[in-house]
Amino acid sequence: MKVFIIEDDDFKSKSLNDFFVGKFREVSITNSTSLVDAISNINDHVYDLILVDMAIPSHPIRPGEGAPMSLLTGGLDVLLELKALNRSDPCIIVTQYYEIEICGELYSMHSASDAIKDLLDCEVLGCVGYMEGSNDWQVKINELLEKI
Amino acid sequence: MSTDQKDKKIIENVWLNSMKGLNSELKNLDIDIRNKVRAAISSDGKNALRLINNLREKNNSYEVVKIEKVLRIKDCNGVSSIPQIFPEMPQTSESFVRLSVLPLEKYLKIFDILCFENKEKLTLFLECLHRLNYSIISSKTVDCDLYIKKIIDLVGYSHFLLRKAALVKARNNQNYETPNIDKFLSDSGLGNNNTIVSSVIQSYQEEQDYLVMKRSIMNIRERGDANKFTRDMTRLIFHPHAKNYKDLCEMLQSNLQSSFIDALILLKINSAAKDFSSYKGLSLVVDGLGKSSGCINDLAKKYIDSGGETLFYKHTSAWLENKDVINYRLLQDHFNDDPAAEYLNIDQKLIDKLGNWVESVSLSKIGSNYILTKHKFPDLHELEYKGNTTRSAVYNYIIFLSEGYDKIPENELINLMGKTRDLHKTINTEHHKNLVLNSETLLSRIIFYLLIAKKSRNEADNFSLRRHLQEIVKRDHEGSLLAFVKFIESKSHEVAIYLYETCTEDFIAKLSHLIFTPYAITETRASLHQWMSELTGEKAYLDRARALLIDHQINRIRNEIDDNRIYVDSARFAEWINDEVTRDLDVIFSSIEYNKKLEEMYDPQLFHLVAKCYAAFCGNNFFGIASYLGRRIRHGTFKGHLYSSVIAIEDKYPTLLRDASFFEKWRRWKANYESCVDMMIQEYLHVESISKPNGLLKPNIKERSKIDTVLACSRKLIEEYSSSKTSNSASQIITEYCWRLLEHDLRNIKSFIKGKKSDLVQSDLLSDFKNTSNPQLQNSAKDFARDVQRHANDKLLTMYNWFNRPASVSPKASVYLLYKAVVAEVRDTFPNLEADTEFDAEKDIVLAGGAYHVLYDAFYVIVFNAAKHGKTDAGIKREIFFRKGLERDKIFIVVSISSEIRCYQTEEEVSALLKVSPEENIEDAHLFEGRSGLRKLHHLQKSDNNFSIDKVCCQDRKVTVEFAYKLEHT
Repeated sequence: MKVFIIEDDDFKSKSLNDFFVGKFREVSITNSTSLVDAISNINDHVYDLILVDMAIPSHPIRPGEGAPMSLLTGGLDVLLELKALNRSDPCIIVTQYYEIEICGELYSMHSASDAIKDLLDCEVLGCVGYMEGSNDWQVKINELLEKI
Repeated sequence: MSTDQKDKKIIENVWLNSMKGLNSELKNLDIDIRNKVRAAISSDGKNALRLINNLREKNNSYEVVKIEKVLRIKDCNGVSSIPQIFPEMPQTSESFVRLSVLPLEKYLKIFDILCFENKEKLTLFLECLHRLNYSIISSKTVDCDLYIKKIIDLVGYSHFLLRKAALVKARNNQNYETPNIDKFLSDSGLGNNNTIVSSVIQSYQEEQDYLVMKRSIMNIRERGDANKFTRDMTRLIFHPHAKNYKDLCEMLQSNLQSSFIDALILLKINSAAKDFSSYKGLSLVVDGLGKSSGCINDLAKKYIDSGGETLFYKHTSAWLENKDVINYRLLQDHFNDDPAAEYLNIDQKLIDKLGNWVESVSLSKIGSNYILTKHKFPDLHELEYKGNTTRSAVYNYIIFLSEGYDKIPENELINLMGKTRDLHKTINTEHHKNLVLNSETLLSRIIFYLLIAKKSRNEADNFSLRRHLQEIVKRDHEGSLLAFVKFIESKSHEVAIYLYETCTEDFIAKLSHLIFTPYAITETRASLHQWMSELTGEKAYLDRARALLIDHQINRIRNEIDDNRIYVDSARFAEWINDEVTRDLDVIFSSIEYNKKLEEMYDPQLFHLVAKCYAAFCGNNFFGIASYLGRRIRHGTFKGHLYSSVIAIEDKYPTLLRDASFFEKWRRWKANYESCVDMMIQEYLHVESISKPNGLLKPNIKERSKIDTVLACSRKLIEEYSSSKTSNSASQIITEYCWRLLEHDLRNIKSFIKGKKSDLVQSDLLSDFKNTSNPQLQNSAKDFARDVQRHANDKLLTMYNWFNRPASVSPKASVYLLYKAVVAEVRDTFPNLEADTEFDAEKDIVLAGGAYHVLYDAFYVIVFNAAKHGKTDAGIKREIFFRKGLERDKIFIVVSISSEIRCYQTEEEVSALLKVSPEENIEDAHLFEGRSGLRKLHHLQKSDNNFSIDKVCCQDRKVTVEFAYKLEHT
């Protein structure tokens, strides 16, 4: 199973990595912390599952290089890039904020998948609210994995 | 008789006369109606209104006219409900209780009766209007002033006449005395922040962004009847066309509240809604209005060489009695506007009407020499041909008809884009997506997407633009965005500038196939600024480029992780300012100017408006700091970093944590730590509000330092308005100053985080970790305690930087870092240069605004000179401090740099070299003197009034250069 995790917060990224390592016997996980890296990776590789964070920086953060841009809807760019590449890698949005902004409106976790389909014509398996220390997100991801 | 007694007598007489008038008017009513009117007069507010509305609704038009005559004489217990038909004072405020709207037919009959009743007066008015219009066309300003007075004397004040008066004032280039117009404007409330009058004045300013202003006026928040009159009257200059029957009746009611003349004009504008030729008296007057206005060709002619079509279009609202002007406006008002605007009704009737005005041209011919309109007015044709307003409207109209299922060759499209305006605000995005599908070239698709993406909120549209743009840049321009912009410039100047404006840092950052590092964002934007500077010859662009590159140099020097997470979506904030603030800004500017207070540079209302902007800048959930604070910091992230990442240390010490007594201590520490982190998140990391009183971001202006910043912003806004007479650059200025204001709050957040360090780390408990009951675990416990402390400190430091202001949003730099960056740069040429660049971060001086590149240049000149001519190994000394000016509130940053002269030089020789005589040409200092030279320093002094050279001398074998820079505020 090839999993691609787009996440800039190291603690969340670690939890997600641990979860997939624990769940699948054979899993290869790629991590990206920025939009530019994520785009590069999805152009080079096809994945069995992509976990997308919504608010990500535009570029990796390196000393002396200045700050990247904070992109509140950077995750949507990943979905749009996949669509432009005619790809159907299954995607799950995993975000810590309780709403997702699409076309200038805020949608709940529950309704965001449909809005993404309707407004952007992109497919996601679902949207998961991540909370450190809670297991709810794992249950939700497990449910969504059933769809693959 | 005393004065008081005289006044009392006069009042009594007026009252007696009015009672006589009242009685005689009452006698004209049937007894039944008379009693009802009496009941209305003697009732209290609400009841009176109900009774009057009943009377107007139930009785025929003749009776209504009579009833209103009575009610005009006598208010109902202080409730003013029926305005004068020819008012003696301008009606520019909500002075009357709004009556219910009547059916259109009833209005027409009432108007017809009023036209008959006032036939003589109206005939004289039409004659006078004809003379006024002729005087306006002939630019006889003094005559205009007299005729306006005559019309006021004849038929009172009206918004219609206000527009004429404002037009005369706007075109009074010779500054003739216009006492009657001035009084008119003053009585209308120009000096008292009146929205109705100031919107008219501002809309006639040549440089004013018409669409921004239109949007701000048409979107005045609806407060029901409380502001219906204001909304209906202000819209007359921008969109006087009623959307439907109901809208027309509402507008008629409002216009009637202003003046009968306004109601007649509105009816004339919307005459397509209903044939009223059977109302003879009314038809006669309405036709007469048209005849008195002259020919549109004569109006247009004046603008061919002065102002062009853009200004002509703005000024046409003063000629709405002219049917050809109305036809002209019908096209512009509907197709030079956002098609999603709720007040537009583009139905078949309108399309048919426009079909009589617009020629049948194909999309590809709009940009060529074809005549676009069917009318027979040669000067208007010339104006339309030379301008871009009609062409833009026709473009939108043609695409509306085809729904975008049309084609246009690439070269025609590029040509057309250079001859149209504001399309990014006025196109129908869905129709343009159809045009994209029919486009044969990648460049055509990019041009369409450039329009679509700027207007659309859909991320997919912006993505499509970036995808196509990156494809062409990679394929044809070796990955250089600048090369692509230059290529476009060779085809169309306008498209290239539009592209430059689109390619902001935010946009460039998302070009993931071209821009691989944060530095590349800066470098690319700086290169575009440089290109723009070369193209336009404007130094400001070069300054921006330099500011960006200096920022990068400072970043390199600091060599630190820069992970700020505080941001504001500047495009959306600007949009918010345009929608919510521009209108009030224009009102304030008009009022300040009218009251001749531009020099005072302070206005309390402007102060409050900037404060309102700052509140939105902080608190708005879509574009404000609150959105980034919520999504990039508070929700999960803050706790994840500060808590989860720190306690993850547990994994490293399994043996230690199996010790029950140690585990208990750790559990206690962890619980305290977690509750402290939770408290920071729940209580403090918020924008202050009623529900979050401890929020650290204060969206208000209470601190002295913030007040100073707002005052500086107000001064800048007024200064800018004084020179441009528009509010076009207001959003940019406000954004810049909001960032400066935020700096104060960010400082508070950072000191809060610093202050929480001891609560979080709980040193006492940590020290106790070392006292383990098991001596074998003691070392491990010490390591554990040290690790916990280090992790917590590291995390706090990282998070401290989240609250830095992003460098890209507005220029800002530490003076010491500037100096350090300069020394590093000079060392590239003189590696042995000795200069102390260390500084105490606590005492750092941070400069905001464009000033710092001036300081950078000054540093460079002095340090480079010292390195080149002085004793490099002896070291350069610098001193930086503040100095108060003689004027109140003026403060200077002063820099003194000294270096030793070389052993073989004498002080006299060096002094001679340092001397720059007044005769020397310093204008071209930056061109001819290689990389440095004191003449450049003098050039800086000449080009920037805030910069002054205080001392250049050689004493005690040391060269000392001292300069000062005047700061706006601290």
